[in-house]
Amino acid sequence: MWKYSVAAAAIAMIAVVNAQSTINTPPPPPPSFPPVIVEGIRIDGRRVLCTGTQCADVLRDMQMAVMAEPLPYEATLPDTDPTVDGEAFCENLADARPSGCSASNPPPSPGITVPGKQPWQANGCGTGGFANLFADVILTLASSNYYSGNLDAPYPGVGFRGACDGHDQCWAMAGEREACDRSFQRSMESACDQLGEANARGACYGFAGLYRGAVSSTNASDAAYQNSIKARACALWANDMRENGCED
Amino acid sequence: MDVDATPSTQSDERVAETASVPTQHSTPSGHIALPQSLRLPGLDSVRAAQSWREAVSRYSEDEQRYLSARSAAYFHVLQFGSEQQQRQMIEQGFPMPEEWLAARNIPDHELKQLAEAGNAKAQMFYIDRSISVLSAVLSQRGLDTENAQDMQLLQLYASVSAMTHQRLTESKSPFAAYQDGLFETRTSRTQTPEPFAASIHIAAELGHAGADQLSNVFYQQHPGLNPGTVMHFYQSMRRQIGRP
Repeated sequence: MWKYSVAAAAIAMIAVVNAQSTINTPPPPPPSFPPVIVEGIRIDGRRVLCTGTQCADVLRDMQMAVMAEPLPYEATLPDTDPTVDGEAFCENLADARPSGCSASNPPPSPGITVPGKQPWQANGCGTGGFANLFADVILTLASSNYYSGNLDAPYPGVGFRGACDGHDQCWAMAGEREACDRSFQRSMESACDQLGEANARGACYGFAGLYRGAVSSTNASDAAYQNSIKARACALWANDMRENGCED
Repeated sequence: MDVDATPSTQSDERVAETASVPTQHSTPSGHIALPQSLRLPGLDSVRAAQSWREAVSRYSEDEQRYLSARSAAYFHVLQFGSEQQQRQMIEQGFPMPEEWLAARNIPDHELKQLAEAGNAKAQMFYIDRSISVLSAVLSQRGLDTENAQDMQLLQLYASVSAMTHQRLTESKSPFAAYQDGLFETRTSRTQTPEPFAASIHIAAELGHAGADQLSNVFYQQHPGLNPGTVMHFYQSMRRQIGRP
């Protein structure tokens, strides 16, 4: 069985630059800033905006607590959202910190800008999180007759880079796993469809299937998906802390 | 199962065009000829029946149990209620009881060879058998890339997922849609039912008469279905069959 280091070294040795024209999978759309899912009003009149579930839960709980307070006789329900105490909101939000998360040093995440930090970037198929997994799988299972030596375009002339970037982004935004993985495979297969010859198309589909299998069925991918969910939760929480003027 | 990462490409590209062409071979009385492009070797026709239940009742208890299990695995999409419906489903690529039983006796390596050689019906049974193998493992645990046997399963996953998608794209058959949905549902780590729900809608668009009724039952049986995920798979499958 190939070890990651061996696989990576082998990849480096046999990597080739494909000078022919390449059919590429399209790049993903630029990530949008995470939508506000709940908003409220503080006693001082400032707005509270939440993009993550921790913040939304804290705000909802505080609003519900205000609404549950007994109303004076003949009082009417207010037309606007109940106001919340800003200081208490920040304390509660700090308490809701995801495990292992730092408000001052969150992981990079699509669509979230942290002052002084590098923005999140997709890294294709050949570097970053899945590179070793893809290399391991390809070098163990793929037919050497077809493998180009380039993880971004394992079938010669068909680039999977855009598909890999899209999958990176989908997971990094905590997308639904099965949906992200299916889109990943379809994106690769669509690029393969441009190949005219049936055997070539089939071999290209085989690589798409291997990449899909690597991200959908392996223990390593299970762990990676869980990590991406945690990273997104942390990034959103830190963003909500920052945007709402709360200190960690 | 012994498998290869590269799926066959000499598949049933001709299914859609030839499935409705009547066979020129003589067919025994009371039998329905199978489309030329949808035959296992040595099985040219199946017996006509008024229902799936009637067709199944002709077999031994063991065979009936097997057929019931296959029907249940596909949420009973294999069933028909009239000879007319049986004929339509045969043209649409749905395997009949005789074919399930014939395929049951084909060893893994022979079935794989037939599938890779482009026999469309063999591909259906190869996909079916492979889904069972993969589901048994993936419903319990993920694959370990350090384990040689698991890597063989990953290779099987790769080849069968590609073959399943290719069958739907090229044949545009309702049964291929159901197999695509079943593959996605049974090989997902959470066995999520949404892909199969999406495949029911695609099968309805591709002309499966029983799809609407199945849809009602399926949604009742799976009340927590995520509509967004169903829609995602539905749109993906629609693009596969060339519909925007």
